[in-house]
Amino acid sequence: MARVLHFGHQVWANYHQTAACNLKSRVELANSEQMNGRAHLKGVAESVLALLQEARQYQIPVRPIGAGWSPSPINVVEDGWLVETLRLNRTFKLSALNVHQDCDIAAEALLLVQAGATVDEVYESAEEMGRSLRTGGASNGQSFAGACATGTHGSVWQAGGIQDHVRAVQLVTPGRILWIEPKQGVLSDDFIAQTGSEIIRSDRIFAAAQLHVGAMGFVTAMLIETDPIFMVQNIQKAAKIKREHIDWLCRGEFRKFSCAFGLDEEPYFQQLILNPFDPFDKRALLRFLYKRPFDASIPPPPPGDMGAGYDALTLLGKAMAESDFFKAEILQLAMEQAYPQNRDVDDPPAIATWGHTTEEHMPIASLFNGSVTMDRSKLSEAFDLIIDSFRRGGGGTVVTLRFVSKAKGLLAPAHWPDNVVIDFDGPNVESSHQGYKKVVEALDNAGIAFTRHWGKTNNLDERRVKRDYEQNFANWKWAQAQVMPDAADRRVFANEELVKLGLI
Amino acid sequence: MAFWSLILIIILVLLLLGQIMAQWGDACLAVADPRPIGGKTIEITILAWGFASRRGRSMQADDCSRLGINDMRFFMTGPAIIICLVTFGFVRKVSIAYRCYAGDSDVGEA
Repeated sequence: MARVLHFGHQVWANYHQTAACNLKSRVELANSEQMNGRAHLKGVAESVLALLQEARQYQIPVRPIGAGWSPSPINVVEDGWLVETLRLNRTFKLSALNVHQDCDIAAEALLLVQAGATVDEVYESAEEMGRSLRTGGASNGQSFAGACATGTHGSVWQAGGIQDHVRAVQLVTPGRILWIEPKQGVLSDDFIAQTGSEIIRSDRIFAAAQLHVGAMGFVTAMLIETDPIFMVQNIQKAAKIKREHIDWLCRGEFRKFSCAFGLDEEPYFQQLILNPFDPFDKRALLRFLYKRPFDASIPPPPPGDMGAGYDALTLLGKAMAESDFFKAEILQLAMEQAYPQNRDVDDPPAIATWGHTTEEHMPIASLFNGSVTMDRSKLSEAFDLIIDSFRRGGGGTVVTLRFVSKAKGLLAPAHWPDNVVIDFDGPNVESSHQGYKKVVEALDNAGIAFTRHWGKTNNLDERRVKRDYEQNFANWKWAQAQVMPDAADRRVFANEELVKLGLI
Repeated sequence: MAFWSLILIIILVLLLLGQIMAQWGDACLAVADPRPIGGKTIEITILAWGFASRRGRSMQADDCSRLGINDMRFFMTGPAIIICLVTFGFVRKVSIAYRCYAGDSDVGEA
């Protein structure tokens, strides 16, 4: 069994200080001594099962939590148990004997990850095995399981979300411990039995569990597939772009864009950060990553600066909310101050593993994060509308364009073949919220279909979720009912936000 | 004379403002490969410019499950700065926000 530590009643706030709740108890789960990975999984799952059964008996809502990274109130629970998993942060490699006979993935590509392992820990574990992840988000401090649950993504245009790595999920409900895989088995029945789990092999249930928004049960472990290790060369620069460059990106002419601002080759990753107050006269911040073979002689980059002064962005945002003077200039200053000046085409190459493309992260007080995801081919049509509406709402955040392909999971926001994700990241002030609302209204009025990030501020409700996901939402609800047929079991995972979204 | 008095007053006001601004700043200390979990913010009151008993100034983090602290941030809140100012520094409340260390392991055998 795992160690279960109760810290009692407390007021808890999420990582970005955007939501808080009064807890009946904050609970931490920690590994006990076990001889191997499957014993760890069994011990933890049995402890979680006992905890959930107690919660159901006394009608206490439970919210499993990793780093509490999501700015949306999806991770808070009023008068319930908040169960933190970050001490369940072990990772395990598998042998060919553990793999199902029908599985076409080599054992060395698979990594068993406990629910509390952060993205950074998974990157490190993969590199220790000579492997790499294909994509990830902009940060590395969130739990890998939490990032998958909300469909976190980066800007690798040929990959979807971080949940695309997942090949199986261990899920605990108040009634059962489940091991959910696609119909084509991944791990052997013997191995799964030793994790204390019942097997469900179903493509539809697995697709629901890949991105479950915290509403299908308590994820205790995941099996992920990794790639052979590679490195990336980073080009990061500030440059003025023109309106026609947006059209290039809309058409997927990434190489052409890279040739104009970066290297004359196809980028693996491409991202633009724009100042919405003056997107073409002020310099945009561009980032390109180009795939390179792994070279063990290249040392890891030094850790980024951490610490003092990280409230500056909030202060700047408040200043901008009070006055319209110099908004564009203030935002430009905030954008450029954190951008390295030595990553241009002519600078010495900055090459690192995929795991080193994100930096350590410290809490930033009260940030606003919102985003819309849409078919990339709609970018040219929507771009001016989005920028104008955001500005009209007084938006005080930067606007980032990221590009991803269709992501896995029934509830994946990136569900078009090619997607552009438009992020609004900045200080958590009223003007940021107003700007984002104006964007949503404008897109609706223009009849442009879009979805929103589950983990960010999104103003979604059940009606809208049904409209956005249509049959996929119905399929997800069906899968949830297969895993938890009893409504009393589902209610254990209820919080205000999940009920509002129609997911519980 | 009045001119130099005005200059002196301006310098003293700027010095005061500088002190207030300086106290608003924060300082952070973290382990190199952070694995944060839990934690809280505690406020410590330093009385009589540190001449008062030491006992009131040191507290213990008792919720880190034997694995220690991941990071600490030292700062003063706005009200604490005002209290410090109006008491001529006699009452100084310093906040320490810390998070515990969740531990780190190599890849194990499944």
